[in-house]
Amino acid sequence: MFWRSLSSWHASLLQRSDLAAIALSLLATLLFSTGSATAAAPSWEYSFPAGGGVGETVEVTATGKFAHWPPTFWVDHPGLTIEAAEKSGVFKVAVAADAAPGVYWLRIVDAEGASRPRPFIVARAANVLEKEPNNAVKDAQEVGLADTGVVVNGRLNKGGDVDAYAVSLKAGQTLVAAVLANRTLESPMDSVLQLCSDSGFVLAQNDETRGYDPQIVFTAPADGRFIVRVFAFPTATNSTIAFSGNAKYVYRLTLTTGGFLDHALPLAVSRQTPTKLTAFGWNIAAGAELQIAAAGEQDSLFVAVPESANALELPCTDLPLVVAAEENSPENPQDVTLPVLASGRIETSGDVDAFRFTLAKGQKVSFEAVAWRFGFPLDPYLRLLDPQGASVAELDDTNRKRDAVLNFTAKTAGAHTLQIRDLYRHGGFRLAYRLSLREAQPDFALTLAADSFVVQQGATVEIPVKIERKNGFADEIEIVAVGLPEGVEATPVVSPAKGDAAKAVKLKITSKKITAKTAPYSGVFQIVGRAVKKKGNEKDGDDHRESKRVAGFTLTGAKFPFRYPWLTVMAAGSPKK
Amino acid sequence: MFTPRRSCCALLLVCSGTLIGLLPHALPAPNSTLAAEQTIAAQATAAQAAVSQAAGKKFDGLTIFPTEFTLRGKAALQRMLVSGTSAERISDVTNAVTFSTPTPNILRIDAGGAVRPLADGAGIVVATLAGRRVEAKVVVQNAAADLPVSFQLDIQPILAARGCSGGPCHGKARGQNGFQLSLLGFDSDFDFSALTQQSRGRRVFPAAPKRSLLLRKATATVPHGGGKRLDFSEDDYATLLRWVATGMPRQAEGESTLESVSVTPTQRFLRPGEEQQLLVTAHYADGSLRDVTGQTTFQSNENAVVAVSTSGKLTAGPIPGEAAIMARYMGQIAICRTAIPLADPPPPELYAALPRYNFIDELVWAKQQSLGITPSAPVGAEKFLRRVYIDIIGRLPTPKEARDFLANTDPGKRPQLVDTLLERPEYADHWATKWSDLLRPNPYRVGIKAVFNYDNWIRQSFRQNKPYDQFVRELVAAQGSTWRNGAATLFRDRRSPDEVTTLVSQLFLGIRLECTKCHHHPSERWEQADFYSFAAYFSRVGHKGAGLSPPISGGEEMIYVTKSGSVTHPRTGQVMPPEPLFGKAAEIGENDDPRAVLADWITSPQNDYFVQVMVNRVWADLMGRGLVEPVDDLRATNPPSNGPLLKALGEEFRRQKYDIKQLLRTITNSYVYALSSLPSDRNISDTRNFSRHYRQRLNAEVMHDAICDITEVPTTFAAMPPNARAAELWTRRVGSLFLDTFGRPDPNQDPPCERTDETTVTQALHLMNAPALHAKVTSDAGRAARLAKSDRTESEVIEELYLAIYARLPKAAEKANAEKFLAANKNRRQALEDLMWAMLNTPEFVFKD
Repeated sequence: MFWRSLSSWHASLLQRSDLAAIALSLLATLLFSTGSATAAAPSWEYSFPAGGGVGETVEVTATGKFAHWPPTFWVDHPGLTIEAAEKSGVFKVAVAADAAPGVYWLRIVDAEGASRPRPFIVARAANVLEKEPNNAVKDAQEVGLADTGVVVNGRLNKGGDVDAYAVSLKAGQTLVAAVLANRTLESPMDSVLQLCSDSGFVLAQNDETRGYDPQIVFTAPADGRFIVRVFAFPTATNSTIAFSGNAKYVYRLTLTTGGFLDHALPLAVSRQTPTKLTAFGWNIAAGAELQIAAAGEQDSLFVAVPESANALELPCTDLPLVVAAEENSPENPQDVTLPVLASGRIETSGDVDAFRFTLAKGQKVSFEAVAWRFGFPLDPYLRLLDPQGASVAELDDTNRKRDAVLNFTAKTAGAHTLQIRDLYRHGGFRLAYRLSLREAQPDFALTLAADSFVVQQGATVEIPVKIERKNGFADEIEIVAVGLPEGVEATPVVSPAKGDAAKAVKLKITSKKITAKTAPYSGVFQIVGRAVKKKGNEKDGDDHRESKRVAGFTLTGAKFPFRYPWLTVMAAGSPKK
Repeated sequence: MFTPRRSCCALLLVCSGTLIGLLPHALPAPNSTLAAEQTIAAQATAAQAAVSQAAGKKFDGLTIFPTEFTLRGKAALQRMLVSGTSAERISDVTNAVTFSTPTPNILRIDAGGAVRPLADGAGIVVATLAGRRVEAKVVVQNAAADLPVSFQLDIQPILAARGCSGGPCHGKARGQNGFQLSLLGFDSDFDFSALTQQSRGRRVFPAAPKRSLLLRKATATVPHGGGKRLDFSEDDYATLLRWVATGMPRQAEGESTLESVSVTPTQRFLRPGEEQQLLVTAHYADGSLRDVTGQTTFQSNENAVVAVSTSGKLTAGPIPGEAAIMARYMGQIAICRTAIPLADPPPPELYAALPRYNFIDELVWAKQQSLGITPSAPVGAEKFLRRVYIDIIGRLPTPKEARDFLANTDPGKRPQLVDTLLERPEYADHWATKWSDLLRPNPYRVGIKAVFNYDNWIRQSFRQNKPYDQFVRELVAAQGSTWRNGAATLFRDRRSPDEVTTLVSQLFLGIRLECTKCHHHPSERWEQADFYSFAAYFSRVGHKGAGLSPPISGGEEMIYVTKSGSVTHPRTGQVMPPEPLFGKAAEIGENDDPRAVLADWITSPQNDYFVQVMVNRVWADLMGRGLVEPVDDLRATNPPSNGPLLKALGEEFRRQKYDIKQLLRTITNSYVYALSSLPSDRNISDTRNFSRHYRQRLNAEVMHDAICDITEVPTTFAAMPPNARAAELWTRRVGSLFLDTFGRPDPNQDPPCERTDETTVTQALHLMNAPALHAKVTSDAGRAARLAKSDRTESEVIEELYLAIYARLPKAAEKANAEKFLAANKNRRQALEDLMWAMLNTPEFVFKD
């Protein structure tokens, strides 16, 4: 997700502060001009359109409450230039010609604080805006498909709305029509995609491909004009069968006869070494390979091939990567050494992939299969065989989610085999999985309940931090805030190994009284936990990476935790939120 | 076509016990019925010749049945059946012959032909008529002995035959007045206990057998709600008495078991008013036979054609036709097929000269010839055009399409049109609508998204012309999310093994198992064990995710195969191993889904039910009536009207790799398909032999869409994109007064749903008065307004209306009339609207002819 390496995170934070520099200068003006601010921080719900093409400038209308307009904007990585328009909620986003395709996270910032991060999607495909009326087939909006495809930015603006688009295809051409709405954009729509003949007869229909978002891949049987249409039911089902819609039903519909990426193998990028990826999708050269540099500290990154309309988000990992071999099968398990991150696909019905490795007696291991969460239609079913070939553990779901985490303590030493298959024994091109096999090591993670915090000058704010201790992590953890502006301080707090404070602590952030020199501050910071080795354990050495964790908060729409909370220092006398 | 529930009421009546002894019943596989029918057809010509001859013609010979038999024990009885034969026909002369015996010390025979033992030894029975003579050989054993009476073999048949264990009496679910027997005696252990032990054994009194309540009630010596069922003089009374007197044995030592029954004769051509006695023989495992005619229940499926008495005597009625007579004895069924051909049959050359476009014609002519009926004339291009459009794609041709076809002089234009229509996108929606009646549940119960995806799965199957066996396999063994694999919704809707069992057996085999959930099938050979063994294939269906929560069952549910699961027999508590209804299925391997194994069995080439129920559905839809009706009720007791044709269609369907389009092509390319509906003297009473086309009212969706096309005004449906056609609706929840009026199934009804093609007064009134329809006819955007505004001549606009509504050009008189009408009205548009409205209200529009 982040473009910067976290290996030197202090530096990184400084750079982030730079990003907000324009914001700050504007903010200062704003503060002094408005005098007494009375409203709360910007509240940003949805925006339309929710993205733009490379090199384009798009006018975006944000829906929400913005008491102070124009505001400033914060974006998590470079590539966009944003400028507020006069009308409240309206701003222009200029996408640089060399901007990397992917999801950009934006905040709208004013004197009262910052909105939660909202996505702006940059694609190679050109942006097209929906034009109503386009409900009926005869009113379908004509869409010309450029080489890199187009992204129609549409909205089902009221109940019963249907959006129809007409495309012309040549015989044998493969059209990819993919909706992005509920994922990332959080549109509360369960959209349905139909591909119809020119006269309106449905030739193909899809309801779900990636989560609620549908996709149709259609090869034209003959030259012709075809209709692609979108309508939706609400994701929160109600008692009516009617099609649903309102201002929040924003979607991006990619239409392309060019490349469209679905997944890559391996399904992750190494942090330490360069990774060779094979990209898969439609209208993409078979076996298209990508060389990705060592990813460093980031959680994930976006990759794309030149001909693809879209970009793929891949997680980053410290584990060595392997890809399931062609001949991998229960009869012919693939030998791996723990720890390892294996990727593969269940390509045919009834397929089973198998990995063989050696365990010591009593060794505690953890196997995690992820597929569903990444949008692949595979419900992983894990089965572990002991050296004698007997099944010693089987698992379908963990925490009622389709992906599975199997923890196991070896009773015998020797070669064990882990099998993975689809619960329904389905198979196919999109049934990709990522399977981590590793020793269950003590570790911890920090979670914040909010994405932003406000402190009054001269006051203190408490930031609750939840601590998840995994696999019996028993060290003390020192939690600090970094990247705070001058005049703002946080007292480090220690989470002991036991007791309530082992699971949750409160970090206090205090702002000094305003002086002429200290301007109010608004920007990102980080909360970092660092394991404090118990006496006697020190000789194990102090693995920097393993013992430091940055606190994150869950951002609906994002695949990974967001690790940059926002801090607003309010001018004295400003009302509290 | 798809009217699966039509006879359910009848079955329910049996189950609830208000209808006495429905049909006796079933043969092993449809083939045996077919074999019987083939023989009938083969004999047809000869028989017809005889029909015209005066009754009482001398016969060339006599035959007797049985020709050899054994009488065991003092109480043994065998009835004789004597037939007179000539080159043309066979008829029952039992009542006309004189019986005698040259061995009067061994046996006695009465005037009716009933033979009883006197002493051990070999005897002879003789029958004579008009100087002709025929003999039967008899062996008498244990003539002096009272053989042990067995509850199982001797008493149960009496209780069933006398109606004691019937549905309306003690056989109903909670018995009658505290005395309960299993329905028709399927559970002998239960019945034995009921008679001898329950109510402290008061029903039998071995010390004074005649005082037994059982006998006093049956003979109405004491008041009996069921009246008198038995007379003191009858053999059955003696048998019951002897059973009580001998201490009520459950079974005799070393006794055999009943294997089957046979009826004699198995087929007969009759003349109006002619009589024929049936004899029923029970076959036991030890090879012995017994005349059980007296304990058999008989039923005719067409009483008006051939009636049958309780003693098994057939009487032919005055009308030509066919009837199947069922004989049921202790859960075993035998069938006798009868026909009364038309008098004065046409010469064979007439049939030989009829066109034969494919095997369908050949088999239909053969059947018609056997009954002396002749086909109507073929239809002209106009009717063929309209018929085939409606049948294949569920819409009318546009005026241009109609004009082009009618003007086309290519002799191959009909098959070409069929090929074109089969490739039209409307095909998928039209045929999916039929299947959605059978499969698609109520979204308020099952969830909007699950139903929406199920609907799409059905439609997609027809869009890609999925082979029917694959369609069934994907459905029966569906797995995965109900939001992604629509077919899995079947298992969200039908959640337990027994619920799935009844649906699957009825839809894909035409076998109705509902009754056997609780008791032996009253008109079939299926028992409870068959039901639960079949259900066991569904015992490992797992559900995870969100279950049902009506009225908003919005959650996602996943269907998968669990590691274990079983079905137990409710009566015995025994865990039932998965077993098919007949034949053999593959073993279920470690990684196998039992349902996949079942699906393989259902779709296997050995399973004639699978193909026959499907071809019968399609045939019924196109031809106006199934070869079997109801279309999904295949059983020996409900034989097809043309068995060889059903068999041949099934085999052709299999040979065409279950390609539904190919099946449609085969039927629509036959000569028989394009017959006129106008009857002739020689087929006016025919309602099942396809001697003429049977007209059908357009079904709701077809008629609705036709009206939209004719008026050029689409309907706005809720939960559908604009301009959607009724054939595209994904749920019957989408409101439409029109569709409801014209017989769309109720949205609250569970599938499979009944779809009737009956006509009602409300339908007529709707077509005349419905505001929505009026609005379409008179719309500013409609065809009438468009034509009125156009500069086309009266003649042209009249032609367009005729082409749009009837798919034909007006006849000269029609056109003259219409022109006169238009001329008399100053307001051209209003006149055109009136004309259109009037035409929409004619049978020519409302019916597929």
